[in-house]
Amino acid sequence: MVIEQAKQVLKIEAHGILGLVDKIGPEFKKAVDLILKSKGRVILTGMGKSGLVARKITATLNSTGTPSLFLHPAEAIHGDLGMVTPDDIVLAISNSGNTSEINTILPILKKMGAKIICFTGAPGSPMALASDIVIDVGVEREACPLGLAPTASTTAALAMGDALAVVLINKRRFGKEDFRKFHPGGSLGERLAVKVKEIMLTDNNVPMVETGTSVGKALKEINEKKIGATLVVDGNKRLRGIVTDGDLRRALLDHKEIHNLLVDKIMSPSPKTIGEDQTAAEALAVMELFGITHLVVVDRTNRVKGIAHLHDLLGREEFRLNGISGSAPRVNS
Amino acid sequence: MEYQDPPRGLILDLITPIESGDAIDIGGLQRLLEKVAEHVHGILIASRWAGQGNILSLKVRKQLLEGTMAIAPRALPLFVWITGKDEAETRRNLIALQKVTESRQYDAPIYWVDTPLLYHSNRGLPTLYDELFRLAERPFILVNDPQSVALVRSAIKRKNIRTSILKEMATMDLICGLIFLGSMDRAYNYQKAVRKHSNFRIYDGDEARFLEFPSLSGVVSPGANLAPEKWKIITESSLHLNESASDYPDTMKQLWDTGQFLHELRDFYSSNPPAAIKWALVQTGILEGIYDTEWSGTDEKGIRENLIRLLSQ
Repeated sequence: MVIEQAKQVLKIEAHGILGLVDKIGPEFKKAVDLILKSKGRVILTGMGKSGLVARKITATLNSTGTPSLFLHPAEAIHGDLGMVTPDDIVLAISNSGNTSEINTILPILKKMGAKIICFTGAPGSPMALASDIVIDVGVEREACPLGLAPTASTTAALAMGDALAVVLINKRRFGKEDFRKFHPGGSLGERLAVKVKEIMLTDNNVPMVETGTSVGKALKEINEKKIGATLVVDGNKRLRGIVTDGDLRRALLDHKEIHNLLVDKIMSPSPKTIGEDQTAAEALAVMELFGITHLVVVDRTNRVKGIAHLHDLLGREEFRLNGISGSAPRVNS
Repeated sequence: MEYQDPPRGLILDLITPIESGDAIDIGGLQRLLEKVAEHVHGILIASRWAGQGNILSLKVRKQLLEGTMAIAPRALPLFVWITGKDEAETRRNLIALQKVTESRQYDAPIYWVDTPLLYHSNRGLPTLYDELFRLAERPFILVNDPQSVALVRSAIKRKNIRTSILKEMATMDLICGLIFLGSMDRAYNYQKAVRKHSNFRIYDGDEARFLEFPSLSGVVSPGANLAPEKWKIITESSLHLNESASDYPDTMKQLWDTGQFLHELRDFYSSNPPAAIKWALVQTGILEGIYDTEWSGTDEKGIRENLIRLLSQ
């Protein structure tokens, strides 16, 4: 009896998931497209067991490159709605579509401008009616007697969440391949793994003047090397500062004639640096963190080894898409 | 043509309050409907199970339908059993009952319920329903009841609707659900056959099965004649009709106790639901006439005592 019942439970759950196969259609594709195009995050919400499923899907999405977070519907009413932005996509999960806490917050989320996707077993429910995209995760039978706990229905919602996450991974891989067509330097994955020393400008390509050089000569260096800045070094090529386009503009405001000024007077003395063995991803994260377009590559004695420019890395959006910018970079102050 | 989707939930398998003779006890029917109406999502009348549809005359069926439409405290979806002993009688029932529905305004949908294999083979079923639909333009709920079919059909005939036939019929607008009895494996196959039609209902015709592995369309319940509140609690819980965080701390225990109560109650009427349920309804004052409530059981006295004990809880 025990063995038979356990087998029956597994059969019910398996059939519940198989039943979803035919339910995947245009609405699912719309949901994928919506998430891919979104500049925000995926906010998952659900109560009780559906809430637990939502938390698991949140973790899966985060670990596969789709930024997401869990919003507890009850906490949302008491202030957590503040974490939602108009760019976010809300994914609400309720088998009945009749969970009062969720149905209370959906109109507010819509008013904020967030798009709403729902997983429900009741496509005609209030939650479904309030949603932009409805994905049917209904099953025909639960495996738990007396309805004490949702079983096959939560398994089905979980499986649909996995389907969504995996499709998103694959869609983004496709994006990377597309990206490679226009960037012969290699696929994004390969670019992420390379060390800074493999992509930085070196030797004569590095704009560099010594301390005591006139601004006029520094201007010439900037024009020749064409990256909008020049490094200022001492006689041992140790980094002393940087002169950027911005420094030149500020100098022009303060002085009528700047050509004969020394670079020491107008340079920024503490440019952001990075080690040559750090990764391109880390370099980009530092650039994004400080809103700059180049990093000076130095060794442990602050001797200049090269310069890494944003243009030598891949586009910022592509990096952000893959969740790399969230990692904590090691920055040489 | 599109019809309102059949409800999900608790479908009462109404006992037929027929007194000795051939007349409906309208007073008893009214009291029973008043007791159950707020707890159920639909009413099945004149079924072969609790409703004793296999022994009811057409006159009684018409009285029962007319009475239910007239005195139900609120308009609930009605499931009207039309199956006769053969195809001709089924057609005759359908035409007569259709006339009853046309004679009175009723604000909820009405579905015809039929067990085709009691009088017809699997072959040609879609054509049969095309013809029946032309006689009475209301959607049909099919019944798969191999045990009942086995009682009246030759041993070599199929006892279940073929899955491929069900799949074909599920594409027809006029077939919108199935009351299912049978093995779990067949339940899976049927579910697979109709899964493209998300509004196609598969109700459990077996209360015990529903209590163990609830179908998410609902259950057809004779027991709801006796304990409609408790059946409503279990059905809504199983179908997640009211998910909310505002559960009591002991909600799970209450559900468990309610489920055990219904299991136990069912044990006492399942040997002969119409007789046992009517007897219990007479004891509780819902029915007042003289009913044939004799049923054969190994311990009839014990069953009666237990029914009274349970219903007084």
